Amino acid sequence: MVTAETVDLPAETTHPSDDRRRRSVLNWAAPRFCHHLPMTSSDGRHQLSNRPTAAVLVGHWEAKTEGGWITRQVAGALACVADVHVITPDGRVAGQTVDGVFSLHRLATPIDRSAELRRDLLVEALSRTGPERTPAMTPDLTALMDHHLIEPWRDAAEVLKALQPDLIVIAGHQTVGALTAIDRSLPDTPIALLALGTDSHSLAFPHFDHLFDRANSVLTLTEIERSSVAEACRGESKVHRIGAPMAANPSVLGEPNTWVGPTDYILVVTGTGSEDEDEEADLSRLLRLRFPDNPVGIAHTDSFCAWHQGRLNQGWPIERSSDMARLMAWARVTVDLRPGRLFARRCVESLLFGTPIVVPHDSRAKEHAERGRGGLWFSNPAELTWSVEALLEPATRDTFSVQGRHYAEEEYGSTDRFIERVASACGLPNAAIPAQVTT
Amino acid sequence: MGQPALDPQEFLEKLKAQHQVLQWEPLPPDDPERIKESGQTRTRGSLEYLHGHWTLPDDFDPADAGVGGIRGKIVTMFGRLTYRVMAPYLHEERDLLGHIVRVNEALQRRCDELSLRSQQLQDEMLRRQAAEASNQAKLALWLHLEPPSTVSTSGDGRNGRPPSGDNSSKR
Repeated sequence: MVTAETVDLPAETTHPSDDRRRRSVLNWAAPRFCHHLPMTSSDGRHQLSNRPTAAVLVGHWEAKTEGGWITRQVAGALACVADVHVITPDGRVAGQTVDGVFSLHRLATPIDRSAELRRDLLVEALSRTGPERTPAMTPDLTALMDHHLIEPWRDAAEVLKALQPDLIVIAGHQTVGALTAIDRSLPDTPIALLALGTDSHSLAFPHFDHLFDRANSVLTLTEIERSSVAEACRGESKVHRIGAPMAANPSVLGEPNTWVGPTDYILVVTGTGSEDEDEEADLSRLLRLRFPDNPVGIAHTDSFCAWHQGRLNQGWPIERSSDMARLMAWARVTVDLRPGRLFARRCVESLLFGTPIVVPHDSRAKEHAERGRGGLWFSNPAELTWSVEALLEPATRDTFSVQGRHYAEEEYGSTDRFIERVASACGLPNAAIPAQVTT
Repeated sequence: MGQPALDPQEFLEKLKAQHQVLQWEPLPPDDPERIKESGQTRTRGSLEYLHGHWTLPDDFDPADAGVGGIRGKIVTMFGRLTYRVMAPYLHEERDLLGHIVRVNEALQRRCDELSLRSQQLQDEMLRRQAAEASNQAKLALWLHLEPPSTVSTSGDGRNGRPPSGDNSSKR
């Protein structure tokens, strides 16, 4: 379908149905990809005014964390159907700038990380030690939890009044300050809540109930998050699973990592330092000693260690995502000892490359292994070694590889479907989704 | 897909069943027997009674006669006479009781010290036992997983397994 905003494409940019071409749309940081997207003039005025306006309220506008990354992806998906204004307390100087396809409004009243940490600690402590599973919210407790978390959003009300958006997206179910700003400015505007729920305690905590109650729709990433939110909302009708837009980078298949080479190695991602004495270090040590005849590449946060037959080949830490993708693409099996807490993005990427995963049983990545049938999970060191041992068998590995890749491509591998799911969940017209995208 | 589908849950259960050759774990430490508080209190109560009652009277108290008049005077006179005659014996006995109480007090203190020391030794032994159990659990895990020192290049008959039953190091 072609919308009024879609411009004529050059002759060489055909294949409108080629999904791989469309994937490049989601490089949201670069504004060069969409001819159909609205261009914002240098003074912040919008050149196209017949599209709906969406405001995204986010505590931290960043891409380092899984939560930050998916917030940008959701904002990017909305940018295909609406003019997107991102409002964040971040920044040193207040004002409006252009960030790719977004208009970025910095309030320059950054949220204190220690206040967020105190809130998280309170949630965790009260959920685990209280006499009841859902503690009663007294005014004192409410004030303590919101201390220094409401004030940074004070100026957002004025920005919202000026924008008059058709839709407001709140990133994070704990962002109480954003809802306060909405209530002060545009209490009747539809709200979509991107839950970003990393644990069930936080999702079920009563202090955040009114965000779920006020939201017209709740966006979740994984099935386990969706079911947790549905339980917290006491209803499933407004909870939507949107997945994430991901793709296997084909360029990394051209050449393997030089430290391990094309050796069908076991890739172990510890998420900790090489000198740290914690469980992940013990498990990675166990794996390299248990499989001395297999090359084992261990990615620590401060180094990469390639072990083979007792010999160590040490390299630089894996910092770029393309380097990690290269390692996963050439590995026999990926053992992620500390997967991402939101949706284990690294594990999905491994599955997209057809590399089965072995993950902790109490992690979000278990969903990809269990529901996606893309790998195995462990609850003790013995199960870890049995699982890796089983996945080193070619027939077993190939089966899990095919199953995992099929799941990852179905659920996470399509940008088109992601945009449609986001637009549909937010109640924006799907017809506005562009059919043609060029880079 | 070309291959039969594999359900990871069933696959893991099958793996666990295959590897359940020996369920061994070290004995947990016994529950330590603490000195019972009630016994200690009772002992302390008896000692305090001794401290309060070891002193015997030196002479006859007329109030003990209980009656007045001639009868009372006669009882008082006989009482004083009796105490005067028995005085050396009573003093000896009071000294003896005093020594017995002091010895009991010293014994009580010594017993408390020994009990405390015994408790400390027991705690130390329990800590050591727990450390040994932890160490044995690690050893058991290593033995269960076939440590690298037992891996031969041929892999024949490792840990009593037939050669065909082990493919952990084969690719």
